[in-house]
Amino acid sequence: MTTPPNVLRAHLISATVFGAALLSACTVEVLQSKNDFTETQIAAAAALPSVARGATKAGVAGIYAMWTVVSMVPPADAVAPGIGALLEIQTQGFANSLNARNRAVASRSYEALNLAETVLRQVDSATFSTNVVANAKGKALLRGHLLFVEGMIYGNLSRYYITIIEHGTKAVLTPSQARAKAIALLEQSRTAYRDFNAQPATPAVPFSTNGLITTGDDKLLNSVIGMFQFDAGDAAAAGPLLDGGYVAADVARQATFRQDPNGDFIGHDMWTDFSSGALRYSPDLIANRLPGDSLRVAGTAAATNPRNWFANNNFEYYWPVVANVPFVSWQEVAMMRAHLTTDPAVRLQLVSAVLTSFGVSAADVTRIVGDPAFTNARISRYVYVGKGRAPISGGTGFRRWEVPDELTR
Amino acid sequence: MFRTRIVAGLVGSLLPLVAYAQTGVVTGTVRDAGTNQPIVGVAVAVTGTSLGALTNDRGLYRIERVRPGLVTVTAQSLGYKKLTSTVTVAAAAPVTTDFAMSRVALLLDATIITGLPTQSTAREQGAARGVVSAETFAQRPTSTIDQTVQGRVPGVEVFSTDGSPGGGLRFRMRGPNSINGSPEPLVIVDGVIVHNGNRNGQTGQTQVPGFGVNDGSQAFQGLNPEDIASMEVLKGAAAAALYGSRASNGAIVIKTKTGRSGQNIFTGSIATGTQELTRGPENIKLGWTAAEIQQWADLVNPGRFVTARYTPAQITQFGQNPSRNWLVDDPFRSARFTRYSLSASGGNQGLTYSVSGSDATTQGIMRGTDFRAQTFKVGLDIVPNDKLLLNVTTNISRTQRNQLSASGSPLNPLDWYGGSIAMPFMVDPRVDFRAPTVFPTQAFGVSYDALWRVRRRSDNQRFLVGSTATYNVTSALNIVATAGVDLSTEEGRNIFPFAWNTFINPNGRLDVDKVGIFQGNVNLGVNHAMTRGTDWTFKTTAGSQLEERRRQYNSIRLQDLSIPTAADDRANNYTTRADQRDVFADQRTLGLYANETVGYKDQLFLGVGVRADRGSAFKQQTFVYPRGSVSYVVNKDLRLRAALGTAGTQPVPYQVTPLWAADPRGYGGGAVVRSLTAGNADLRPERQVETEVGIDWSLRGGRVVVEASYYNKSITDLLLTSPVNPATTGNGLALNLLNVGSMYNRGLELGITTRNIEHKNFEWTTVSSLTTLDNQVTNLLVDNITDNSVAGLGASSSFAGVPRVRKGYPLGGFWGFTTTSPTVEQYLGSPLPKIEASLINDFVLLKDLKLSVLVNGKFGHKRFSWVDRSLSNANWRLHKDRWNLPAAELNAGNTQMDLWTSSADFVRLRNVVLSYDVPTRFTEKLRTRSLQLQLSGNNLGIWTRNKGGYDPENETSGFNESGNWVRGIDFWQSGPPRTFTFALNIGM
Repeated sequence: MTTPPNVLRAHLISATVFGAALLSACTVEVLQSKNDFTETQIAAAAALPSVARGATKAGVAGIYAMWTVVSMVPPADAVAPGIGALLEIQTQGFANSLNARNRAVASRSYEALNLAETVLRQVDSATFSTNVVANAKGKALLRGHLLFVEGMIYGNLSRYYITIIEHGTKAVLTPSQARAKAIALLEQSRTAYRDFNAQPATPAVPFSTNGLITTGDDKLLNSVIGMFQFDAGDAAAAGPLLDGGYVAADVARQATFRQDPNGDFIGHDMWTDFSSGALRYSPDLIANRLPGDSLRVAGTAAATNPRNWFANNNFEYYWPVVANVPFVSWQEVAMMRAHLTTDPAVRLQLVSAVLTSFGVSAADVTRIVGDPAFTNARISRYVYVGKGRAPISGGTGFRRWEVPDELTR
Repeated sequence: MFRTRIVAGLVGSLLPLVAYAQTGVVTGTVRDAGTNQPIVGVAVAVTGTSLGALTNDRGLYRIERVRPGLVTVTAQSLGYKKLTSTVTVAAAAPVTTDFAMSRVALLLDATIITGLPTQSTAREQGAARGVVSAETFAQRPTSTIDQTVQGRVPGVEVFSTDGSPGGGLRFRMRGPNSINGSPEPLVIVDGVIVHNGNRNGQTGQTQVPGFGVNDGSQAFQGLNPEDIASMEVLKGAAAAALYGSRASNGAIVIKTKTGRSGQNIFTGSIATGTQELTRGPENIKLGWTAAEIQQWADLVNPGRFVTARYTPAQITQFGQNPSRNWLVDDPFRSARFTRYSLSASGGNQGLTYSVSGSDATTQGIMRGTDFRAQTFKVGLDIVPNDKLLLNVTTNISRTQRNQLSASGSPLNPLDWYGGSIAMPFMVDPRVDFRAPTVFPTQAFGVSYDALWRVRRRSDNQRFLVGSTATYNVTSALNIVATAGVDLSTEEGRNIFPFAWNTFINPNGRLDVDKVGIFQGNVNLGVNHAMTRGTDWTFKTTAGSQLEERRRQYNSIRLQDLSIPTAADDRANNYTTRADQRDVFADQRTLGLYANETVGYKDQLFLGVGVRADRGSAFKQQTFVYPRGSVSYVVNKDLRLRAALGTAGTQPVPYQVTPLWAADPRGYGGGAVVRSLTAGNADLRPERQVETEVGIDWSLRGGRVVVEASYYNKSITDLLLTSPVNPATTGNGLALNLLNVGSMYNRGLELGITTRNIEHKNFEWTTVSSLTTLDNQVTNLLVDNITDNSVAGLGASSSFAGVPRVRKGYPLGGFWGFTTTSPTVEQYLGSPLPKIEASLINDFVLLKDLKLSVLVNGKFGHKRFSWVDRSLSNANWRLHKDRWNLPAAELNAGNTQMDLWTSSADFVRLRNVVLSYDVPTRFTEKLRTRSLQLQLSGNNLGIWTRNKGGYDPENETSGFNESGNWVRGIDFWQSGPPRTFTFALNIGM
């Protein structure tokens, strides 16, 4: 059994050449999907509005997670395992295993930033319509909306976190640096919305505007930028902005996000540690906090008694109702202005309007505004509860009703 | 399309080579040199051609169409020394050459079966391989192939998950080889790489809850055990390196039976039997006295809502069933198993065929579960000329499985018994049936019997076709091309025919999902052999393997329906489609391999090989897997061997590139895109380097054969879905698949075969094996992993966080606070058996009566009994030794994990088979060729100190592939059943 070596050599050489050619030609797709997307696919013009809505949904989920934690967790719980180190995102390595809530906040926020950046990178080169006006309107709307979302994310991160990672650069920002970034983004949003609002009424935006803020204007931007300045304790900067912000008459066009337990937010990781395990609502929280939450006012009849939702099925405090939650409400703007003003008459008018809008009786309004015990900060709790807002100056206290009938006592 | 072209091209290019000429015939007889008895089934072949034949029951063979001239004829059979004869063939008259074969103790000349177009013999190999023969399958009428393998191959741990029919078993070859990678071995049937993943494992999509939980290997479900000609097990990288980046878990290579030329043979078999539960939880308190029941109620009631406290009437009712064990008596039954098989084979020198079909129905031991497998197989061997051999094997199967609602669901009846804090076990559920929720006062809303109608139903249809063309270019060179396709669909349905929760499912629900899987491979290989002088031989193998896996997944949830009727079910006549998903994944790998084996004086063999893989799982990176081996045959009784090999584990597709998905819930009334995976462009395959040294030694004239191996697997770049800082991943995802660590598996495999008695009327053979395993995670780049920190690690959080991955300890080792260490977690032990041993005794009496007894056991491992922990809950108080302890002690016990962790050592009478071959003088009167009666039993007895829950061999495991590192949890699953089977095999 012998074979001339050249036969073997020829086979080996041809096999090697054939193999090398095959190996180098093996450029196969990782994944094709009917409803999953590669980077190229989500960067396509047709997908950008959906990506923008994704950024919005993730972003408000992140913001809402921050509000949820900060508003609902009493200081003692904040240092307990599970919530410990809540207000510090780790800057490197792997997230702390006990910091699940923190991960949820960051996860949604940075997903939003990534999606928003994806759209903002593509929007200039994208073509939404052959109609010049429609095309320009679409681009301006997406820009204004996404810059607003990004600004709100950084603004909220700057409130609650002592270190903030900048998306993309991974630079570590201080709260004041993050706030400056937020304000810069919101100013860019203002510019984009001005472009958008300057366009003729027709033709329409060339894609569905569902879920996008079409009511962006100076009043919105003044309100949120003023709010961040206010929270930072910069009264001089906040005052003029808030004076140009929302008033009661703007209630219909306040920018809101949609909270919908049966759709938008269900299943997200914002609530699990409150619905099960050791972090169930305390009786104190149920008794003192839930009945007074302004977010519940817009709910259905069943929703007006949150104690029932909780007692009946242990379900989520935040999820049983559908509500449009303002990014900043005119009541919040009013209370900030009330705090900043030195004119008692202006304060009286602002606080009265806020209390009245919450259904407080005229007699109680009169009593409350005349009682020095009801400070602006105390009344503001009613406005801010559920949002985790610092009442005036970025203090470290948590908002909590001192007694169940706080405002009717 | 690409594949089609390749196959067509190959076949097309080879067909013109078919040529006919005037030919001759080689014939003869093969006998045992010692006994002079004819040997059946010897493979006699003309070297360098595709011509060959098997000897019949009189030892005769006949090879036709041999080209005239000088030819070399070889005869080989397992257990005999290979023989060669040179004869001159004439065109006119047959030439006769007979063989007298001598028995050998070391089976060194057995041809190695591989799934690659390589040709080799055991003599040349440096790594040990496990073999399960056709005889073993034929003589053990179990319902599935994997049951037959259990306990028979050293180094291969086969374990049950939930014991339900069709659930499959899991295989671990020389220890666990991965954390998050698919842990199951590569399975190759007739050259086809078959899909062997758990359902939902590849995409993580699981619309139908519970499917895939606790499922074992799916590769064997559609194969009839009686079709198996041989099964070869490659236990690690040293043996399986040429399979490349998917071979880290080892490989199982199966060849199915082909026809023999000559007389048509028909066989039929009927197997029927029963199955039953091996045992129930042993620590449940039974035999309550009236006073104890009152004491129990007084202890339990204060901890319950006032409205949920047990009333005097209920307490009285409890007393009516003081010894009734609802965990055993009601859910389980004695179940039936039947299988019918028919086969036919035959042909001539140019074409042989085999056709077979089977229908097996297995009732589950738990009410409401069953499994049916129907198979049909056609195999053709075509020899167009003496150069070419074509083989096409097609296997079509359908398996249908009914399961109960997923374990862990409040609607699983066993969970309902075991997992409900609302129901004391002595209550007759038909009388007092309440919701198994935290609201014990709520009416459940459905009847007890309705609970058993909740079903998970799956229907799997599979089409497996493998075709191989072998072309002998010269006597020293051949080309082998293989194309294989595994096409399967599985439809899963979760049926909730009633409302049970007014908030979530007001009117019942139907979840439907469908998985379509395409698994295809095209292999092309060249084998060349040559000699230099009289001492040197060179064998060269080179080839390519292109593999593609596609998976399509669709699911839909249908709810808000009235109680669905059968017609609704068929018509999908539901009002609300709450959710729908549609996923399509595609993964391709191209591997090139080459191997050179150099032999010296047929004694010393050196082998070196390499495989290079490039594929979509790793973004076009190329990975190289080298191997090497030495085999030194000192003499006919002694061989020394060593091998080193590398292999990999691929991650599931989805993980390398960031992906986005449509969010079905939308936002604000518009479509939404969200991030799906973070993507890790730096991902590498897990990489296993295995070294192995061994000795094969024959003693006492071949009456004792010892095979011993030491193996050392070093696994690096372990894949783990790890928590990452979402602020730094770029797209906010908090989990990403990373290469995070390393691990080793080391151990010894010892196999001893002794022919104790060899008498013409009585034979006794003993096969014993012992395998040890030392597993340790040696490095971990992430912090020590607890279930809480790694959300991606399956269902581990359901198991009290006990299984952990920690550096310096075994994978999935148990950790927790203990009675003496309430604040610092302690290591409690490993779920991995340190020692697995088996003992098989085969007896042959009067040549026709055979008895085989297999005993095996596992030792040195622990089990965490969730069942006992639950029984001891202060709200239950049903543990026989703890029911009346103070509440504080019981509550403390919840976190004293040492209380629930205990040795899981066991010895099991695994398998007993008694078979009788009816003598020829009787079968001839019955006009049959053969008639065999078999009686067998599986899992007949167990000896263990483990008292936990159901069978100690049952192990609830983590969810889908990525959770499979979690093992050893006793969680309301029943374990492998005890079976008794009678079988009748007839040959015509």
